[in-house]
Order: sequence, then C-alpha cells, then structure tokens
Amino acid sequence: MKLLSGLLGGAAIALLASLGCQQGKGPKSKPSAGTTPTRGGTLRMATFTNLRTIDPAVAADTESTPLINMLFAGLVDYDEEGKIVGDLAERWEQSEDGLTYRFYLRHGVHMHDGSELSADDVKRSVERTLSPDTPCPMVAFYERIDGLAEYRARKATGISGVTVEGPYVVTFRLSRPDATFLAVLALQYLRPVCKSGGRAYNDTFQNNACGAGPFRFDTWQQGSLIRLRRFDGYYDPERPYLDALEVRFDTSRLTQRFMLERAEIDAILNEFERPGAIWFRTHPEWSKYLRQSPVPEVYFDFMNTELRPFDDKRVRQAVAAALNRPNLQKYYEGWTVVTGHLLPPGIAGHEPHVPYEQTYDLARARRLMAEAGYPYDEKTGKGGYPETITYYSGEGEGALRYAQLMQHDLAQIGLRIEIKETSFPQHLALTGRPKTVAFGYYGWQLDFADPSDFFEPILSSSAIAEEDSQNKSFYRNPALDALLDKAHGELNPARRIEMYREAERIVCDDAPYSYTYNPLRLELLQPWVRGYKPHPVVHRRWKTVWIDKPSRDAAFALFGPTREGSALGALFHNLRAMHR
Amino acid sequence: MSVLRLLGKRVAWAALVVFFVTTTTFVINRALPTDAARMVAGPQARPADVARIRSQLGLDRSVAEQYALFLKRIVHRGPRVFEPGLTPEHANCASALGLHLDLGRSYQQRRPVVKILAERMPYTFVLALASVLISVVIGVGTGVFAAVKRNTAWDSATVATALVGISAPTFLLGVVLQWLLAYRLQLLPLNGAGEGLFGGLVHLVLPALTLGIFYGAYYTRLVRGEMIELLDADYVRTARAKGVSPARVVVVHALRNALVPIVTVIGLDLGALLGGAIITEQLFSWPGLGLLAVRAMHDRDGPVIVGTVLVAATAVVLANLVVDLLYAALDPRIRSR
Repeated sequence: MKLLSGLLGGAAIALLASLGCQQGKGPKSKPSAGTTPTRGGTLRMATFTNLRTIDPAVAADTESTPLINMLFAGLVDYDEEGKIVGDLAERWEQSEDGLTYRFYLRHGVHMHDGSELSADDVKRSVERTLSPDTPCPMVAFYERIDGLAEYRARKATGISGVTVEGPYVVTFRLSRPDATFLAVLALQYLRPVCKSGGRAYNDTFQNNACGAGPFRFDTWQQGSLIRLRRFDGYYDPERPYLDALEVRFDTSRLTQRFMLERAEIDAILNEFERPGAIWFRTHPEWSKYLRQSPVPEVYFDFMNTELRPFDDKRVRQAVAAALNRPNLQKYYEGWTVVTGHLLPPGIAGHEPHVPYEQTYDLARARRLMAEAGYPYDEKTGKGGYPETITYYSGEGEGALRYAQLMQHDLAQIGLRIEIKETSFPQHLALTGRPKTVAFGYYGWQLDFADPSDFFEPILSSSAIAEEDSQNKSFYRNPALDALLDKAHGELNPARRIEMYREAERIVCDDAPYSYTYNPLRLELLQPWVRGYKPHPVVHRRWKTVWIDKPSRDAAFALFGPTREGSALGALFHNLRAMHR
Repeated sequence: MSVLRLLGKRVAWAALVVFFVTTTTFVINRALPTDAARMVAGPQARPADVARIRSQLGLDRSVAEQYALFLKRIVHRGPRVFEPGLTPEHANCASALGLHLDLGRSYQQRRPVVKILAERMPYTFVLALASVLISVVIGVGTGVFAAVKRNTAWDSATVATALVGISAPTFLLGVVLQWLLAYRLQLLPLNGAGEGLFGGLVHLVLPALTLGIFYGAYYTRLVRGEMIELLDADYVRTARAKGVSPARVVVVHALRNALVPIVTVIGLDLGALLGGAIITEQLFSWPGLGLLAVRAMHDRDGPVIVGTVLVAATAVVLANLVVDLLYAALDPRIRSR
C-alpha cells in the first residue's frame, strides 16, 4: 500500500511540475519589421457552427456570408469606410427620377471557369436568384425591381426591369424610387455566378461554386472544413495576398483557444468563452493583438401593444425609463455598449446619444405607472401591476443574467416579472404569434446598411403577420408607416436622415421596444496576420489581409505547421520517413 | 422452434420497433411549436419569404399528409442502377437490391439525408468500435486483475479508480484528456478527424479514449464481480485441484464463463454508441452522427432528425439481436433450449 501511494504521489507531482512550467505563454512570435504586403500563406480559422451552403442565392446565415463574399464579386461593394463603390461595375449612372441605374462593367473580368463576365451573366444571375423556383430567403429586398412580380408569378420568362444594353452595360429599372437599392445590390444574393449556376437554384452548384470573386472554391469536407484558394485570374492582379482561406467547423470556443495558443489557427473571430476572453484581454502579450469593434446590431425588449398592461403607452414608457442603463453599462463595461435608442453604429444617422433617447428616470417611471392606474409604494412594496408578467428570455447564462438585472429594475416600479428561458427556435415561433407573448428579448442586425432596415421589418404595421411576425410588439402607427414609406424613396441623403431621426424619435417615445445595447465584436489575430481592419458594415473581409512570413515561420519553427504537429505526430512522421 | 423461425420472428420485431420509433420522432418533431421554415430562412427573413420557403419544403401540408408521403417514400422499389442527378424522382434515394431508401432532403443542407448519413456513419462506427475495444481491454484487464488480487490494496486502488472513471461524465473526462494530452503535453491533435490512415488514427485516440475509459471503468466493476463469484465456484476449485495452471484457471475456466453477462452489456453499449456519441463528438469536433443529430435538433431539421433516430434505433435493435445470438454461441445450455 505504501509503495503504491508513493508511486501515485510521485507521478502526480512529476505531472504537475511538467504542466506548471508552461503556464500563461503568449503568442509564438512577434510581427516582423516588414510593412509591405507579401503574397502567400493560408489563413486558418475555426467556428463552432457548421456551414449550410455557399450558394449566394440561398445563403443568409452568418457563417456562409463572409465566405460567399470572397467567392463571388458583385456589381458594387463597400470600401474600407463603409461607402458603396463599384466592384465588377466600373461606374454607374442614376437617372434624375431615381428609377434607372445603368452599370458599366469592367472589361476583361474573368470568372473562375475562365469565361469573361458579360452583362448577360449579370442578368442571368439576378433572374436565377429571384426565380420562383429558387428558395431565396430575401426576395423582399428586391421587390421594387420593375417586372419582378410578373416574373415570380411565372407570367414572364425574365425580369423586364433588368436589361442588357451591350456586352458591358446592364440596366436596372425600378417601379418606385428606392434609396436602398445600392445597399441591397451590395449583398451577396444577386452576385454573378458562372454559367454552371444555371437559370434557377440547383443544390449541386455549391459543390463547385463558381463566381468572379478573389477566391475560388477548393474543397468542402462536409462537417469538417472548407478551403478556398486564391483566384489567379481575379481582375485586381495585386489581390488577394493570401493563397488560401480555411475554416474548420464544429470547433468549440475552448478548443479554438487551445488551437490559437498552439498556432493551429490564425484567428479567433468573436467566438470566445468568457473566461478565455478575460484571459486574452488581461494577458500582456495577447492583448496587443485583440481588436474590439462596434457592430451594426441592436438588442431590446419588446412589449406587445395588443396585450395588457403594454397596451397602455404609459406602462411601456415606464418600463423604458425604469431600466437602469448606467448600472447595466457598469456590468457590461468592455463587452457591449448600452443604448437607449434604435439605430446602431455603422448605420447612417447613428449617433452614440440622441436627445430623445430612452433614459433611466425612476421617478418618472413611477409617475407613469401611477398615471396608468398602477401606483406603487416602494416602502411597503404594495401596489403596482397586480399580475406577474412572463418575460421570454433567450437561452444561456448571459441572456439570463440580463433578464435578472431587468427583473430587479422593474420590481422598483411595481412590475413583477417571471423569467422563462426559451430555446431559439421556440422563441422565434412563439413571439411571432399575435396575442401570445407580452414581453421578451429581441434583437435586430443589419441585413443591408441602411436605416430603413431597422424600421420597416420590425416597426411598420406591414411587418405584422399572423404567423412569424417580426413586429413582435404588434405596434401600429399610421403616421410612422407613412413617414417610413416616404423615407424609403427619398433620394436626398440629408433629408432622408432627418426623416429617420423623426422616426426614431417616435419609436423611442411610443416605446414598443425598450432599447438596451449594441454588442461589440472581439477578434484576436496572430501577430503574423496583417492588413486586417474591422469593417463598419461587413465583417471578415480578407481581400487585403496578408501573412507576415518571417513572423509565422518563427512560430512554426517552435511548433509544426501540420495538424499532426505534435510530439507524437512528429515521432510518427519521422518513423514513416525512415521507413521509406 | 427452429433457429430460422426464431430469427425471423426477432427480425420482424426489430423492424416493428424501428418503425414505431421513427414514426414517433416524425410526429413529435412536427408537433413542436417551432417553424422549420423559419430556421431555414433565418431569423431576419421577411414573413412572406418564410411562407414561400415553407410551402417549397412541403411544410404547409397537414402532418397526416406529410407522414403519408414520408411512408410512401421511405422504402420503395426502384431501378437498381440510377443516376440521382438525372432521375429526379430518385434524387434522394440510396439503393440496395432494387429497394430504395428515401429519407427525404435536409431542410438546412438541401441534400439527400441518406447521403449525409452515409458521410457521417463511418466516423461514428469507427469511434464506437475503437471505444468498445479500449473499454474491453481496460475493463477486462483491470477487472480480472482486481478479482485475482481480491481484498488487497491493489484491489481497492483499482476499484477506487474505476469509481472515479464512472463518476466523471464524458464532457469532464474529455476536456481533461484534451487539455492534458493534446494541449499541455502536445502528444495528440486537439480535435478534428484528420486525413489519411495515420491522421485518422491519431485523431481517433482522444475521443476513443474518453469513451473507452468511461465505459471501461464500468466494465471493471462488472468483470470483477463476476470473476470473484466464479473463482469461488466448485468447478474452478476442482480445476485447481487437478493441477491446471493458475493462468489457465483464470482465463479459460473463470473468464470464459464470466463473459456471458458481460457480452450482453458490451453489446448493448455498442448499439448505443453506434447511434452517435453526442458529447464526445461535439467536444472533439468528430464529424459523426451525434454531432449531426445535435445540429439538426437545434435547427429543427426534421428529415435529418428522423434519419439519425432511425440509424440509432436500428443500431440498438440489431445489437440486441446479435447479443441474443452470441449468448447461444457462448452458453451451450441456452442453445439447447
């Protein structure tokens, strides 16, 4: 027995000693002095999700969009500051009435199959995505294109509003002025695909996705990884700098942290477990390579205006005023930015603070409750709204903690909240039904960079539906509807922004939603990943990114560049090499 | 009753069980208060677009109608040789001996479910077999050892270690092994499936070890218990008295008889593992059925959920069947009955 315990104890001590000596290492190397981008290298990334598709016509999830943007180039794209500029289109003209856009294509643009891009490809790709046989989830963005309704009703064989006026000229005609047109055109959906893409969606196209983007399809091992490689025929001979992009799927946040430390991946893109994020943040070396940037997303609590007590505007205003935002900001410091209004950063018209925003004012909140008929006496804890209200929270620790903070704040004005944790699919389904859920969390992220995208889908009365309503407060305001409709077609940018300011003032005051926060995106890149700048609108743009080879080679000298680059792996490799 | 008739009866029962499990899954999945079309279109798609996708997926039909369609397609006769791309009506089929299996198309991946399952099954099967192999080696080895060294410090140490192994859930055990063997000591890759035979084997070690230790610890106690009982049995004493070598007594006389109940448990565990080891696959990014099932459940991808349940149910039922047959092979008394 003594011998045994001695052995075990000794082994344990030896193990602990061998583990302890590696504690808290930083990146494997430092950036080299070079500042000129160089060609070559693979950017390796991982995600805890899986990839569903890389067909631009049907992809709407966060994982596929950045990859599709690299595979397929569009007529227009965003520049580094978030302004819309020509991409495959060299330039464009807009008619006086705002109804016609004429695009002039670059000459000599090649697609991945070697063919030259023509105006016919542009038209065919638009009709492919918007075909009644294609399950495109975002047709609604394009409904102002002339002739689309007939085409989708199979009354026409093509979209009459999209015309080819020469091999390099294509025109889009709209039925009504649409100030969002360029923004929705910059999205992935209508980007030109090769002739192999056909005239309607076909689920085999993604096995050999083909477009005109800076990267081309290489391999996709289902459930494991996807690899894109540099397209040598890209119209910009300088770009991209990288030889390949690689994304591994189903990789947990914790494993990503291990992989980054072992130099097996080159970046963690916003997928941190909280202790890991804190560790990297406080690390003297790693923290130098962390980037934190605002994202165009806003979160809030919806109050169903068809259900008691939120059918009374004063109660909604009281909720918006009772939320202790300064306290929330303290809690969230460094993770999110607490807000009291709708438009998030990255969207035209956004300001960090606006005069009409919802602010914490406990006295006002109590007064509003009293006016609504629910006076609350904080000394005795009596009064307030007599029933308990169920709050539909999201899943997970973060969502629950927010719900608890809010629950505490609302108790101060006599609203008693019961928190119900719901899964994402269930939350989506239940909260979208009329007169079903009174109160719950909700959020909206940009579909395209335009203020209209934060109003029309979630606040207009046309967004109310019997099933799947996205106006989860079921809020109807004819004056707002008219204003939004006018703003959608307003072509003067300054006047347009004024209109959305007015709309924002209305929805802060009417308070169908109590606005809470804008998240921050956290990205950690290895020292050798250079030329990356967080983008205000589209994240993960790799066109200008390059690998600092001296720095990376120094790291790989310590570690192996291969996945089997471990002690055991190296041993086996050597054995096999000897065998040959 | 002849063996063949017995076998036929068992297979019929097995088919019935699988049928009921699949049907229940189909119905429950459609009874959930969630919208698969919404999960396809994403949280931000406009209601009109979601409605159109719902009808394209056939989800706007009644559950009865959807079920009838599903039943009509699940097993049907079709051409032996066909090109899925050129024969739209058999685009989702897998065929064997002129019979087609059609589990529909994944809503999310828009590919035939049989194809997705075929991609995932090898990974899960290899992992299941490797885990069972490791667990048997660990379980039988330590179990026999503890039984032979009964009531010594070695015995208590083995039993105590096994208790730790059983008590630690796989997600804890897996994280500890990953941290220790891959992250700290850098002996093994962290996760993934690897490429080629060598890559595959190296990547298999961690997930297989996690499951192997977990099940092995359980078998240790089982084997020890059985062996202690048998080592005291009269016929073992007789063998010893006859002068049979101690090793032969333990392995041939005692262990062989201890195997009957142990094989049952191992067989059933293998059946369960063949359905996919959810937590372990998730932890090590092992692209098997378990990971597929979790993702499908999260996305409400009905056809894939039904497909994974079908595979899991079939594996369990078949394992049961095989265990019964093995019984007969191992124990002559059962055969004669």
